[in-house]
Order: sequence, then structure tokens, then C-alpha cells
Amino acid sequence: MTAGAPRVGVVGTGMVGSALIRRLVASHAVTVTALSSDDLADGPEGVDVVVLCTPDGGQTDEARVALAAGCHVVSLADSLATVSSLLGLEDYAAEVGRSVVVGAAASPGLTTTLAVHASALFDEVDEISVAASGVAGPACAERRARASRTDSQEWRDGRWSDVVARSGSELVWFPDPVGAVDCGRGDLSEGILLHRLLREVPTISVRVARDASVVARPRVRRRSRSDGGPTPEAGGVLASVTGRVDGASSTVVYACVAPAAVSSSALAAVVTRRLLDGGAPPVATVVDVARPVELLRDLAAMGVRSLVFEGVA
Amino acid sequence: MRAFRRAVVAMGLAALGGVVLRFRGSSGSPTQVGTWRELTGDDLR
Repeated sequence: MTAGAPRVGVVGTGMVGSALIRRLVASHAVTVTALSSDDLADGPEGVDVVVLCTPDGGQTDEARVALAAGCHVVSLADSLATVSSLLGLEDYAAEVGRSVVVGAAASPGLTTTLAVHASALFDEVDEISVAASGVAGPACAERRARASRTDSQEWRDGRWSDVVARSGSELVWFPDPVGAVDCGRGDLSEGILLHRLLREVPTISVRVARDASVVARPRVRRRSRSDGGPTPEAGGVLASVTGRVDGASSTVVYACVAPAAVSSSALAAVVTRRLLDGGAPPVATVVDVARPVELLRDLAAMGVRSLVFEGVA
Repeated sequence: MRAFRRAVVAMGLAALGGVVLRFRGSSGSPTQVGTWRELTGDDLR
């Protein structure tokens, strides 16, 4: 690492935060500091970017404190309320000349990246469906369990509609070793982020594994024990985009399978470095920091590879 | 006794129908007819 390297402060040292610190240290491109909430409240000195890997509920206040201290912010929050609140910091971020990057995790983050990348293949997009399964640590599992039982909103036929938690249940086929997972509606924020990025898309649906431990169905759980398949740490994200090319309708499905801590920390590391290199608008999604292909290439170089489904979708 | 047997058969058929509907899913997700391929080269340009 060279003298004068950018300084990154990571708040929250659970599974994702710890993995992120390891990745950033290994990059030899930045100086990394683990910050407690008290450190953040005191005003971190000389820190260029603060990455929030803390529980969802406190991230808006933490982001405001970090902005006030002159830091860029990268958030891994996933709930609709928190992400909406972070997007609401746009004026303040512009005033202090810093950026808040929201949704820099597997979900949202990798989900939105895959959906935007797939949407670029179409002349017109009719529907985007994303799904997420898998958790990192205990706090993440608790948050996902809460997400799966919290009512939310869905962008449907050109307007926001209230949706009941766990409704719209369907079996989502993730690539192996995750396989089929029972997913339903819940409190995730891909809808608001994708609508912000792709305003012309009439329907955007988001589903979360109904069982936060990802291995939702007894059949899958039994198989995992017999053949070394999915483990409780396995996770996946999937984006299915239906649209038209030259008038013909088709569907493209992209996915990524990796433990949630691995994919989330990888995307957060990529986004943090891209943010330091190129900057971002006052409030940005990950695909505002870099193009989806750039993010996916960076992730592949870190071992987090994305897949495309070839068959009858 | 006949009514009981009919009830058992009816419940069995209903459960079977539920299982079929449950595993069939609704929409938006790929079936298992196909394969997954890693995004490489032209996919990431």
C-alpha cells in the first residue's frame, strides 16, 4: 500500500463487514479501519469512505453523520424504508459534496446489477422479477426473517401497489447447489431502486426466500445432507427479465450463487474502489458508480461469477 | 364407513392437487429444462 492511500472505514464487523475488511486489505489499494458506532459519532478523521455493514434500522442516521464528517457513504441496507430514507439524503449529500451509494450488497446490489444488465438486451422490457435467498450472519438472518413477514409495495402495471408479506409464493429455481427455493413477497428494496433506474418498466416484482435459512423445503434439505449440496450458508440471487426484441417476446434469466457474505462483501469492495476512483452522483445505486458489465467483470475476477440460464424459461 | 372412505379419498386427491400446484409454481422463474452457463466474453461487453 502506498502512502496517502484512500482510507475506508467499515462500520459493523459481522460476517459481511469482516469479509469486506479482508478483501479491502488484500487489495493493497486502500487503508482500512474498523469503526465502531461511537467512532463514527465522534467523526472519523481522514476517512474518505464509510461503508455501513450495520443493522438496517440505524443506517440513515449513520449515513448522515458520515456525510457531515466529509465522508462518502456506501450502504448495504436492504429494507424499503431504510433505502427510501437513504435516497432522501440526496440534497444533503449534494450540499456537502459527497455521495451515498445505496444497495451495495447481494440484495439489493447484485440483483439490481443483473436486472439492469439483462434489461439492456431488450428493445422494450415488460417485466422484471428478482429473487434473493441466503443470509450471512445472525443479524442478517434476523433481518431477512423480518423482511419475509413484513408487508411492502410492488411496482405493478405502472403504479405502486401494497402487497402482503409472503404472498405470491413461487418456487424459484436458483442454479445448483441452491436449487429450488420457496420465495414470496417481502420487505426488500429492489423495486424502488429498479424503478429509479428503469422508469419505463411497467412491472417489477421482488421475492425473498420464505425461510431465511435458504434451505426452505424439506426435500432440498434432505438432498443437501446426502450429496454435499446446499448448506445453510449457500445463497443466491436471480433476475428474470421479460421483454421484446424486434417485436418478439423472450425472457433472460441471470443468477449468481455464492454465500451471502461472499457476494455482498465482494460487491461492496468493488463499489468502494470504483467510488474512490471515479466518484458518483450525490445519491447513487451501484450501477451509477460503474456500468453493470464493469461490476460483473470485477466480481468475476474476485471469484463471484454470474450465470445465464439457457433453456425454456 | 363408506362416507369415511370417500372423505379420505377426497382429502388425498386434494392433497395431491395441492402438491402438483405447489411444485408447478406460477411464473417468472425458469423451469429445470435447460442449463446454467457462466457469463463470459461477449456477455460482459
